[in-house]
This record gives sequence, C-alpha cells and structure tokens, in this order.
Amino acid sequence: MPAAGRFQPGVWVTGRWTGERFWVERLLGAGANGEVYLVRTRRGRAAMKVSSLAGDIALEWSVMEALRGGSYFPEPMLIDDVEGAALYFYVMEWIPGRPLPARLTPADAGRMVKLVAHVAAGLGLLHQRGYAFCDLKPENVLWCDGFTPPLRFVDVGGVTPFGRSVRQFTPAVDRAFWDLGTRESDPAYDLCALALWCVTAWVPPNLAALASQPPAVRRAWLDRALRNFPMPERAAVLRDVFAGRLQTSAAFLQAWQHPPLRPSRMLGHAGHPRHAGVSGGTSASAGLRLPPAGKRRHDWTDRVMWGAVASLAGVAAWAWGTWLHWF
Amino acid sequence: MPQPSRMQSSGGCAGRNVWRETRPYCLARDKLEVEELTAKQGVIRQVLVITDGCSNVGEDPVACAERARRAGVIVNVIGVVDQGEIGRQGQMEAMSIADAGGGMCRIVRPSELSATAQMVTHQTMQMTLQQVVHQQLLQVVGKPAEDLTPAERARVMQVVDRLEEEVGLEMVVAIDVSASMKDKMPTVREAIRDLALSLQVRQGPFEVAVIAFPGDFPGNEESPAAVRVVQPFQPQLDADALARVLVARGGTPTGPAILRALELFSTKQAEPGFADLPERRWTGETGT
Repeated sequence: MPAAGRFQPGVWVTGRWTGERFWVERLLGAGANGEVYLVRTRRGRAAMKVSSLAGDIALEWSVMEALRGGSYFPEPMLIDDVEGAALYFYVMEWIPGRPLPARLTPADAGRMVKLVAHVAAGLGLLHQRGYAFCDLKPENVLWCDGFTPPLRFVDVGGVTPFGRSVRQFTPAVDRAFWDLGTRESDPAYDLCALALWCVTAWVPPNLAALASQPPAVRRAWLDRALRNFPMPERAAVLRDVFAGRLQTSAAFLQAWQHPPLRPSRMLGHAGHPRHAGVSGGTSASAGLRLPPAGKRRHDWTDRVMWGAVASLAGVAAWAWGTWLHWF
Repeated sequence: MPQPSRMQSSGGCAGRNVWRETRPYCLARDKLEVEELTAKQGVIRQVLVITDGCSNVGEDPVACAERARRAGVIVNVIGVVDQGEIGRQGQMEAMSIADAGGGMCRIVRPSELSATAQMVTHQTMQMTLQQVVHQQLLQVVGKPAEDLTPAERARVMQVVDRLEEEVGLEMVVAIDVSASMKDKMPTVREAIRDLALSLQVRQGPFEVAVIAFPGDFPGNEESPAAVRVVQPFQPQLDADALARVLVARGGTPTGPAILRALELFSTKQAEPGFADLPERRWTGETGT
C-alpha cells in the first residue's frame, strides 16, 4: 500500500512509457492528492508530482499544457507512469522559492504593497487565457530571488476555466466562505482571494470558530478586520473588491498602486472606536497623518496665489504710472 | 490556523494514514450497474453519511450500503471526531460502509469537515464518470484503461472533467444527530450549507435531500428509531429547516438511515422529475 511520502531520497524512478530515469533528491511538499519531489534528470533538476490518482495527474497536466509559455506557473516537461507501481507522475520546472508569509506585521506594509502588485500581475496573465487560479493561498505563491518576474505560482490543482464551479479552495481565502459571492470561477474570485490574504495576513482569523458560524457572522468579522487595516486608502480598494466593484486584475492593479484618496471615508473610519491590537495604533496614526498634509498643501497654494496677486498689482501700478506720466 | 494541524499530527491514532488514504471505489465488479445507471438518466446518486460513532440500532449498515451500491447509489462516510473518540470500532465500521457502498471514507476533525465533504463528493463523482468513460472506450476502441498512454489519458480526463460539471447530481445527506454530536452540530450545519453552495454552481442539475438520525424528537414519540426527513429533494438547501435540526435522544441507526435515503431516491424516480422540465419562461407559444 503506498503510504505518504512514498519515495525515499536516493530512489530511482523509471517512466513506464518513456523509459526515462529520475533520481529522487528530496520531498518538496505534500498536497491533498499527491507529493512533489525534487528530482535529477539527465537534463537537470526538475520537480516531479506523483499521485496514485491517474485522473488527477492527467487533468493537472492538461491545465499546465494549456498554460505553457508566459504564465507564472511552472512549465510542464513530461508525463508518465511509474514503472512497476500504480503511481502516476508528471515532471515540471522546479521553482526554488519561499512561499508568501501567512502572517505579516505592520512593519511589512511596503513589502505587502509590492507582493500584492506582483500577484495581481500574474493573475492578469492567467485570466487572459480564460482560467482562474481558485486556490490562491499564500503557500501556493513563491517568492524567487533572481527570477523575473520574482514571483511564481505553484499547484495547478485548483486552476479552472471561467464559468465552472471551483473545486479546490482554501476557506481562509474563499469568497463563498466569507459570504462575498458564489464559488464560480471568474477573475473576481481570485481578486477576492488576494484581498482576503491581505486582510487575514494582518488579523489572523480563528477559522475553526468561524466555520461553525453562519456566513453573515464571518462577513461581519471581515468588516471589523478591514477597519483595523493599517493602510486606510488601500482598505478602501479591498472593500471595492469585496463588494464586486473591481472585477478585473488590471482594474485592481491600477487601484492598488494608485489608491484613490477618499477623505470623507477615511474620516468616517477614523471616527470608529478602535480595537486594541497590533495594527490599531498604526492605522490610527496613518489616519491622522492626512489632515496636516492637507493643511500644508493649502498654505503652499495660498502663498502662490497671494504672490501672483501682489505681482499683478505691482505691474498694474507701474503700467498706470507710466501711462499717466507720474514717473 | 496552525493549531488544528498540530493537534492532528500528535493526536491521530496509529492507523490514521490508512483511513485518510485515498480509497479507490470498489465498482470494478459492478461495471454493468454503473453503466445502467448513467445510461438510464445521466444522473449520479450519492449518500453522504456524517457520523461520530458506531451504529447500534436497526439493520446492519454495511449490508444496507451494499444494497445501495446495487441500486446504483454510492455511499460516502465522513467520521467527525474531536479528540479521536470515534475509536477503532467506529473507524472500522465507517470504512466497511464506504467500502460496501462503493464510496470513500474519511475521519476528520470538525474544522476539516467542509473541505472533506466537498473533496469526497468530487472524487467519487469523478471516479464514477471515469469508470463509465473507460467502459465506453473499452467497447468502442477495445482498449482497457491501463493501456491508455498518459497523453490519451489526459484527453479522456478532459471529457470526464466536463461530464462532472454537467452531469445531474442527486445527493442525500444523512446526519447523525445522537447526543454526542451536540457540540459539532453548528459546524456540521455550516459544512452542509457550504457543500450545497459548491454543488449549486455546477452547470448540471443538482438536488439535495437531508435526513437526520435518530429521529427521536418532540412529536415523534411513537417511532423513536425512525429517521427524520429534514428536507425532501430540492434544488436548494433549506437553511431554516437545517437550523431547526437539534440533537435527538436514542441510538445511532445508521443502517435504517441509508435505507431511508434509498427510499427517497426510489420515490423520486417514480414521480416525474421536475429537473427535466425547462427553466425558461413560457411566453405562450404552442406546439411541441
């Protein structure tokens, strides 16, 4: 019976159809339907996804082939069966990188802005081909130093053509779990997942407790968490995603990188009672920084205006004086 | 949520991996029945049993599951445990039921219930369809599934995948509501709601019925072992009816619950299926 971690490091795996041999270096990760190993091939190091489910391997392979070239997903190399065992595998590009952090501290704000922009760009490429990622959890997004772009997606298990039902997802970043929409594959589903990662990275939810609550209660939790978001102007962007006002990754990227200033909204949020928390102080100070900024700009335009008026008056006086021969 | 996973790794019993291992369905010896099932109406029928212990009232659940499979109904079992109180006997039984019912068995903690219910439904649907398509291939091309090259298999799976999205699905969710389920009921309720949410957005028709066992609740004193129908087959889940399901007194009649589910399927087949009627608005045109 095949058990978890079915290949030990150092084992040779032979393909039934190609006869190709692979040397297993180590286990990279284990998922719901199989494992991914780092292997050595005669062309170099690669990643090998192995499963006892022939169907899942075949389906994931079809998706990778559809995304071949110019996507953030690893390139597919070859598909085969394990010789002498009821195991199936495909070999793909190895992506050495670190997964996105599931938790962030307020000091990470700048880093988050950059990461989210990169993810949105990758989603844009995927959406152009008519697919949604659907299982956009932080573990499935790798930061790879030295790569361009420096961010890659792994695990095509959830990738679904638009219009179909989503069948692999993670509650923390699932639109339907948070009562924000359906579980149908569309570009907004991914944007929602990305926005949910932003929120839950700051304020970790107790998912086990929320899972026994009706969806409306989960949504109320999310609204509270958003109020504590340390970047108020970007919280407004996230709110737009949750309300379905931002539907494409291009629109989201634009709004995320140039968040519109909404003074009235931000004043409204500054007025809310704040919960004691890590991010509470930061968001309060971020909210308070705006009025002085506005005042400074006011002073500057004032000076320009009065300067212009004064010089105009001077020029006019000089012109009249010359005209009337006072000088 | 790092806590549940940590508990999982330390608290599981020695045989946990065996139960969590993906169990391929056992339809190999019933190919004829599967074929008959889909040829007849292109509908997949499943029972999902959610329980936390051993059956101790009524018919043998394994025999009932066997009957279900013969009738073309797949039985999946999910055991919900808090700290492994289901015991070896409960695990053995859950596995035997799923085995006899041609389905899958998983033992999980409440927080994993929602994801597990959906995974189990998806995988058994996929396997049923895969079986049907392979059977067709064997007849048309004369090639057994094992002889397909990976590239051919990928193409077959694309067909299976599309079928899974478009095929009709009828599902009976059978919930164990014995006293020990009390603390888990809110999670179970939300998990069922979540499952329906996922299945409703499929392109194919979907109908769900919910039954609860034991049925000993106020107003049903005369037959306490009876299984209670929370909602008959409907395209949507009745969240209010589900919210009214409370823990009942009595044993765990898992066998009778499976039989009740089969009854629901057969009465549904007897009456004309409204799922076959078009959803479009009739604007007065006549003729065929």
